[in-house]
Amino acid sequence: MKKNENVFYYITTMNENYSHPEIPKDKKCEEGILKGMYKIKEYNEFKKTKIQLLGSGTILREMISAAEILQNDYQIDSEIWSVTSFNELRKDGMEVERYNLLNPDKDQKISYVDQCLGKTEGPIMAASDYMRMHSDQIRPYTNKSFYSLGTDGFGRSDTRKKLRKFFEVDKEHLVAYSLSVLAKEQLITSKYAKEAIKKYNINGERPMPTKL
Amino acid sequence: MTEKLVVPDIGDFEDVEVIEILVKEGDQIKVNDPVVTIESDKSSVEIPSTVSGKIENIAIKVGDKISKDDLLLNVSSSSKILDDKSIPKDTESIIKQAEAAMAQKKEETVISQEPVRKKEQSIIQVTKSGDIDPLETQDWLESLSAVISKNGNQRAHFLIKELINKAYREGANIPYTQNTPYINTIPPEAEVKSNGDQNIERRIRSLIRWNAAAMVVRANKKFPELGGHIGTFASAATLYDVGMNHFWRAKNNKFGGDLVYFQGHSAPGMYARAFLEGRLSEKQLDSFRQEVNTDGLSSYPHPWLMPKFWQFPTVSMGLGPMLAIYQARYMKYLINRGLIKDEGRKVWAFLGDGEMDEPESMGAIGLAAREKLDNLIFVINCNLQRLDGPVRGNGKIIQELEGSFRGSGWNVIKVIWGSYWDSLIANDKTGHLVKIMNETVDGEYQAMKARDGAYVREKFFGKYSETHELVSSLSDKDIWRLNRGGHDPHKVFAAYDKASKNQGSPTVIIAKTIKGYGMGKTGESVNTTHQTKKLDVDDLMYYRDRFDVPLSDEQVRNIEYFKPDDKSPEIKYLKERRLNLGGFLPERTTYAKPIKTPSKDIFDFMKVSTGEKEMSTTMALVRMLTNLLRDKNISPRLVPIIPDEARTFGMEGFFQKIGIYAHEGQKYEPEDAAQLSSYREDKSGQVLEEGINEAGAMSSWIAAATAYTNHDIEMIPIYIFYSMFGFQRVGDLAWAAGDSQARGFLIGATAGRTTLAGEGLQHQDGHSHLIASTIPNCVTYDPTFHYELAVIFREGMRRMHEKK
Ligand SMILES: Cc1ncc(C[n+]2csc(CCOP(=O)(O)OP(=O)(O)O)c2C)c(N)n1
Ligand SMILES: [Mg+2]
Repeated sequence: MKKNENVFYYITTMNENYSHPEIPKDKKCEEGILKGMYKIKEYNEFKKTKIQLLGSGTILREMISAAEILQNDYQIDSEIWSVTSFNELRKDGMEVERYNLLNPDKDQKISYVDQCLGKTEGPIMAASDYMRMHSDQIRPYTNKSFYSLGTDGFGRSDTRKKLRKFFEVDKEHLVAYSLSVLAKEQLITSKYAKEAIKKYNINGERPMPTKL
Repeated sequence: MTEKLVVPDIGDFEDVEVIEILVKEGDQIKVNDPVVTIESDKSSVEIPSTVSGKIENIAIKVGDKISKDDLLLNVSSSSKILDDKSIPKDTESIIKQAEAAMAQKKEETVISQEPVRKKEQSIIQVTKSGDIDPLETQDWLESLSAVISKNGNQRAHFLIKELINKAYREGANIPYTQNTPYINTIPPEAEVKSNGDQNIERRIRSLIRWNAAAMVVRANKKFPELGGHIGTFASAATLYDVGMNHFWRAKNNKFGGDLVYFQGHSAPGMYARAFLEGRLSEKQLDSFRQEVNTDGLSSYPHPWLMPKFWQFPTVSMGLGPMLAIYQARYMKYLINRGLIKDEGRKVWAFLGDGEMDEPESMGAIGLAAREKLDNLIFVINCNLQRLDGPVRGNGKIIQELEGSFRGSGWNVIKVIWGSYWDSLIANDKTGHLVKIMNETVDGEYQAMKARDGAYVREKFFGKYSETHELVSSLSDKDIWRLNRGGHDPHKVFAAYDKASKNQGSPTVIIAKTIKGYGMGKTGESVNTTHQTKKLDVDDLMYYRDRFDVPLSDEQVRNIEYFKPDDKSPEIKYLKERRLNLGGFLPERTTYAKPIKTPSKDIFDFMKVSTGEKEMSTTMALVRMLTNLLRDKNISPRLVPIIPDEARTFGMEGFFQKIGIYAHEGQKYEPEDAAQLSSYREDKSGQVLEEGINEAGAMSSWIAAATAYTNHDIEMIPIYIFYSMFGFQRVGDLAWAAGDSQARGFLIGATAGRTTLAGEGLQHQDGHSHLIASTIPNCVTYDPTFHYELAVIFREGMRRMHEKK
């Protein structure tokens, strides 16, 4: 008999009310949930420009909304990934990288992050309700361009909407950041980002939230 | 006849949605069977039936909005067996046991009134400064002595209490002191004597002392960077040995075992004993603090590194005492819930006097008394020193601890003086000796033990002519031999015996010792004792001679270990003692049976869309737990732990459903008794409602999460807290949980820096996952949707708790 594992679980739950979809039909969904990420949605209509959007916790919902805006207003395709655990992804990435480096002559393994994202199109943008360092954890385990957004800085009391705007993880910021990321990657011109930044009243000169 | 089941008082809510109907028409139901689940925007609760019988028809359907007094079901009750709250078998036997124990206790109190102290000489006669009428004082004292010899201590105590009460009512607002004079709590004539062979025990102890020191010195000779401690165990050897030879019962197939929390940096002593017992080899002793390549011995108690040996990580000071208190409490919880038998098992915790300055050390002593943890014994080794110097140079740590513990309701046993003092104290007709004892501060006590007999004669006994006279016939050597209580096996035995028999409160034994006992001029009672890990040849020779270790000079120079032949009287005695006590200690084993897999549909409801309905993941979790509570195999194993936030998380429904654990039951009718989620406390309650006490809640969680080894029963603890007040508040306990190989769930609720909206800077968590990720065996998730939560939780249960 295999022994019970000596691990313990830390799961965060939230107090924001929203409706929950049914579990995706894809058989590999459950495996992805446990390994740390799975694709929850894909926009594929225009087949010109694409971005990989990673979100976890409640910010995944902002990401889903942002993807919809990107598709409808800017004709940007995207794949949206629900990241259930950046920590578990990092554990896997570390292990794979270590193995590969110590076994240069053997078949090289592929981290789960890279299995998911390696062959996808477009840069990666990740966001969570945690410090950027949280999503940054998986940056080394893919060769793709990777951008992190998060809630670095002291919290403060206000509504969710205002707080997400303050920490720049609301859907509007996510849209603007996405367009800017795509421009930086030279996949679109920078005029869309400029437009969005203006449209959403984003002040580029505003100090970093960690200083506020 | 037909009875109606209507919606009971559900508190402040109206128009609450029915989300589940748990019964069908034609079903036979009993009182308290859940019939429907309702859900407000914050919490979901089950409504239990208040009638028994067959369901005629159901008046509601899923999705209906209901309020108080709405009709739910019509039930035809054939015979009116109204309240069939029959007591479960386990509970019944527990009650019987408790009653028996109470009867026993009564008898004992009667007996304990008797041993009247016949000592003529009382020690309270010293002229006190501020005594304006010594003659009158004398009168009062004599009356008191008369009462004691005529009616006993209890009566005297009663009268004194009455006097104080009277004075208080007359306006004399002088608080009553919690302190007793600086002498042993147990008078010599009341000491229970050990049946052990003192000579052989001393020889064994000497070998353990020697080997413990040798392993540290040898390791540091090889690699000076390794470190280690000699002085701590040297001061505590007797305290441990008396326990090992006479008191601590090991776990075996007949008995659950006492649980002993060893002081972290006394580990070499435990290894040295295990070496004599044949459990560790010489090679292993030589790999003390060298764990990377060999099967070496860990620096301190770490179950992660020595999973068959150590049970409790204690070296992060302050955690041991707190964990021990909650361990004892959890043991009572398991007993009161009928999950384990009451076998009179004890939890012993060995603590340093310096360690007591950690807020965690004393932070839960009130709880221990409140919960009447008579299965808990603290032994505080008061060697008066910590790492840098004296613990209380200008004061007295023993007195300070006595006051705090007694004030909190503990049974306090001070073990200050060894037997050589008995006759001196008995001959202290004028009370001046006790007066000096009371007046001397710890800095002086420490300094005296770093010097010699002549110094003690001058500085201590020399303070008053009466005491100078008292020791006039003693040589300096005799004076030097006057020992401290914690080094006297007789005194220690008597204290342990009394502690083991105490009922109704936890016991603290405060034992006075000498740091670096026997280490000689370089290591004994000096401020640098703590870090001494090298002994030069002279020191080693002194140590050998001091404890009569049968090694030649050559062997001492080689710092050889000494282990007598297996057939020697010492080894035979040592093993026989442990055999009588059921086996070896410490030892970590697991015989828990895994939990049966819950049925799949418990989680299925979380895999379908909630449609229009909005809910939080916290609510989804609570619904899932409610479902799990319906699974007969899982339900009793769940241990919900909440630090005064049940209403925040919508878990107040648990209060009524499974009850809040309260060892005294519920002695009052709660204000909200009529309501569905009334605050129900129960002796067999399941929820650990810890109050605003994250450290305590985490300690409870660790006790439950390691029950599979400490109590051989697999439990599923679920500690749910404000995520911000989780890891960053109790991070070191979480680290200790990893070391302890805890299994269970920590739920950081109201998580997310922007998701917990109005609460602001000190509440909004944007980093707990990063702290959690520092613990290698902690698996973490930040799910968004209910089905993700279900999949994750289900897999967690499978990995940690179920049969493979
Ligand atoms: C939380 C924590 N802080 C500091 C230490 C380092 N430390 C180890 S032993 C010690 C002194 C212990 O003194 P005491 O509790 O009196 O024990 P003794 O060795 O005197 O028996 C210190 C400061 C530690 N182990 N844990
Ligand atoms: Mg000390």
